[in-house]
Amino acid sequence: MNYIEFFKYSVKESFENMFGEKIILRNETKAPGWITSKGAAVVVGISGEKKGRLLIDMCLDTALELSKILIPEMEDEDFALFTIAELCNIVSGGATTLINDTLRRRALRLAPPSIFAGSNFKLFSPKLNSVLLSYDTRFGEIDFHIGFEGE
Amino acid sequence: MKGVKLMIVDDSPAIHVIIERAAIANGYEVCAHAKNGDEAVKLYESTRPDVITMDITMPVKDGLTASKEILAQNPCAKILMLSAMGDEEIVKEAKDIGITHFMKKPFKGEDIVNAINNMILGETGE
Repeated sequence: MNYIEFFKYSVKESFENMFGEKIILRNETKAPGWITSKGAAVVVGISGEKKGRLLIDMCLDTALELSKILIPEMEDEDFALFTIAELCNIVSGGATTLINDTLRRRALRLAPPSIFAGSNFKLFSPKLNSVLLSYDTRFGEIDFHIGFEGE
Repeated sequence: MKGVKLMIVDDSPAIHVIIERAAIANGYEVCAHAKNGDEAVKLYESTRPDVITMDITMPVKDGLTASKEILAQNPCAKILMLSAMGDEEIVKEAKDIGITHFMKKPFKGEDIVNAINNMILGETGE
C-alpha cells in the first residue's frame, strides 16, 4: 500500500464522519507542479522522515455548503474557510496516523493549516511529486493534491 | 451538567464554535478560548477551568507542551486531548505526561459533552 492509498482511505472516512455525506473518487492523475485554485484552498504541511503536504481545493460555494452542515445558521465565508481547514487537518491527520502505525518508522507530523482564498490564484510546489485525487460530492467537486518529496 | 467551567484550546475557529455551542446547550460555562498552547497556559492561571479541551497541532506552542506546563501547575487539571492524529506514539506521549482522556477528530458536539460529563462524574463518583 503506498501513501496515496492511506490518503484515499482517510478522505472517505474523514469526510463521511465529519459531514455525514458521500464523497466519490472520480479521477486520479499525476498532478502538475502548479495548481490554479477553484477559489478556496488549504494546505497542511507534513514533516518527519518524509516531507510533503496535502492541499485541498474547491469553490467557495462548496466550502459554504459544507460549513452549513456543521452549523446550519452560520453562513459566513470565514467560517467556511475554517471548516475546510479543519477538513484538511483531519484528512492529513487520519492518513499520517495510518502511515505511522502501519509503516512504523515514518513518524510523520503535521503543521497547522494555511488558508488561501480568492479567484484564479496559482500555487506552486516545484519540489514535490503530486497526485491529484478529484472527488464528487453533492455540493460540488473537491480536489485533494497529495505531494511528497521523492515519491 | 450545569456550572462546569470549560476552556477551549484549538487553532481552528470552527472547532471553537462547535464545542462552544454544544457546551452552552448543556449548561457549561465557556470561561476561556485559546488559539495556541501559550495562550492556554496563561489563561489557565487566570481562569482555572474545570475541564480543558486541548488540540495537539497548534502554532507557537503545541498542545502536548502546554498540557505538560498546565499539569505542572495543577496535577489534577482535567484535560481532554483532541487531535486529528492518533498514532500510537502520540497517544503514548500524551499518557506519559499525564493525559488520561483522548478523542480523535472528527467528533460531534455531543461526543465532547459526553466525554466531559464522564470526566467530571469520574471525579465525583456520581
